[in-house]
Amino acid sequence: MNNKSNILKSPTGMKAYLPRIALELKELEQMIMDNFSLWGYQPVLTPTVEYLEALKLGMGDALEKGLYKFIDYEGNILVLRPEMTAPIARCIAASLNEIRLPLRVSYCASVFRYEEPQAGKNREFYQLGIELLGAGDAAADAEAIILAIESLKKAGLEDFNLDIGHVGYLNGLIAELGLTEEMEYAIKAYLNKRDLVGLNNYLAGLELEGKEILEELPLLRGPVEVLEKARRLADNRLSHAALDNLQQIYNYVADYGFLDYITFDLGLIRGFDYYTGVVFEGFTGGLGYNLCGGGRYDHLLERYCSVEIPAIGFALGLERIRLALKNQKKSMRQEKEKKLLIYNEDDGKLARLAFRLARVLREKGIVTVMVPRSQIEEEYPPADRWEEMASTGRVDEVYYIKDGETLLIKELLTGQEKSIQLVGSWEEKIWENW
Amino acid sequence: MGELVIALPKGRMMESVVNILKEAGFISRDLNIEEMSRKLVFKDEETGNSFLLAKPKDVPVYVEHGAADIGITGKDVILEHGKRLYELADLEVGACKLVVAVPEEKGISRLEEIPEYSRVATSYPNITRDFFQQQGIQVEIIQLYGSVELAPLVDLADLIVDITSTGTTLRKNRLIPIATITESSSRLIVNSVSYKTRFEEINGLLARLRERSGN
Repeated sequence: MNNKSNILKSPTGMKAYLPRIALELKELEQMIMDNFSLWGYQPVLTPTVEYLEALKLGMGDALEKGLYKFIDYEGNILVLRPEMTAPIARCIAASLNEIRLPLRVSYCASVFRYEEPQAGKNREFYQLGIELLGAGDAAADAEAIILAIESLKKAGLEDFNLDIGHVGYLNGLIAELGLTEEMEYAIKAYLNKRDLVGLNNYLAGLELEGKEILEELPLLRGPVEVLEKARRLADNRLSHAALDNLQQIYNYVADYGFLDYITFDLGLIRGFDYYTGVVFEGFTGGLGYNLCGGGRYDHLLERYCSVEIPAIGFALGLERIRLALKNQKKSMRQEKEKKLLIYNEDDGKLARLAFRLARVLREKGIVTVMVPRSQIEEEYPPADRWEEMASTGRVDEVYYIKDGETLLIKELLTGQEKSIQLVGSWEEKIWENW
Repeated sequence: MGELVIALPKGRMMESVVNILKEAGFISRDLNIEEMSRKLVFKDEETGNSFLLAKPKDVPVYVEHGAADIGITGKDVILEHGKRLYELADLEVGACKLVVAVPEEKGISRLEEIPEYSRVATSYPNITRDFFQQQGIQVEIIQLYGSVELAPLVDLADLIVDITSTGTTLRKNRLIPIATITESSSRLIVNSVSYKTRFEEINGLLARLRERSGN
């Protein structure tokens, strides 16, 4: 163990963000959370750690490999939450008597997965998302999908797409063809990895009537016409119901004017085993990873509280949205007006004056940073030097308290200068003259 | 707009792979392979596609991170890489097997006879580890980057895991293959996002490749 070498490091796969990037992330978060609240979604906060047994109940065994686990003093196994849907389902299931359905909740939270560290994949990352609990109709499906699209748009992304599939379509085919559980597992694994060679080799070794449909499945991707093609291939009630559901979602999305952002993909399989209906994933060119993912999970809450509560939700990857915006050269921040308040240090009288002046400015919502004169190299540096000297980001105006009577104001963009006498009720005069 | 970036494997597979892509209309027929192999990156003006030439083991890396939309490399390499890549077609060239081979004089003919803690030399450490774990045999893995058959000769390892196509190299070094871990041939792999954003082009290529192989 060489602990000394770890002193300056973040743990593997985890990141510290300094203000420049942290601000961009926080503003993106704000924009998206504001949009969630326009749809009536209210935030929830859940514990960062959960009991392993509780999460496993919701998520199945699939994710256990990628979990951070540790043991508390009572011997319980705790995990850092790897996603938010199961923890929220658990919390809601535990407080059913306090809530009214349908319930709309949102979150922005860091989640943890023990993945091999590589570009674009951190072990701690930030997710924003919503869950709509207690609504099982196509309108709820469409609400989630439209909200996902709208949130990405409001974040500033233009060139992106959501792939929409449905768990019911494949499950209908599996029942129709009479596949065993083992076959179902294998086929879903191949589809999930899009290993078409593996899938075709596997199918070639099966004595199974009608298996050609499964070979076609990965190609069932495209605009709404795909649904008709899929309908002709399947001959069972479950698959057709799934297609009806997708057609309804299509109609709602069309009415909302978001058709440009969706594509149907009936070969889409998502990793979590709790999905029961529509599933979707968003991606954009130039970013090798999904921007978002979600779907319907009608039996997840039942696992916790034995009451069937239909639900749908999605999560957006906050850092991935930022990377996508950066790749598309979109500017992310609209900075607030910022002023620098410089004061000469004498016996402290001017510093007291500076505090009073700063208060006046901040009450007007102006970002004001106080800097003693001795921190500035020259008395009147060129405009572009202010920022680095004061390390506060962009600066619009400099207020300089030179002595107890005069305030010099310099507007950096235009170079315009003026001075105000700090006598009488000068606090009001600042606004009169401006 | 229809251009794709394709990562091609340098070396023994390259010629047959290029010929297949020519047949599928993805590389213009008059491009000279000798000339191509001297460059790292080149653009085919006729089809608009760009190609980058990489070591077969690096092809999955270029594709995984989206530096190339698609790539062609061996199944053995894809398995060893182990990352999330879409594998869409078998080009059925560059066929080989990944085998466990033991020096003749050890007299071992079955996996069960391998002593515990044997040293295995290989340039496929991940596949080898997974395979022996599945078999319940504890071994010590020694990673080499080439000429793996040398290791038993100088007593660096007790056995090897390596690819073989005709078996000549193994025979020459008096190594007996006792088990096949996997069969391999060259595969078309695709970046998971390119598969969606370039769906038309990629599926066009896929259809032509399937037509060619007749399945």
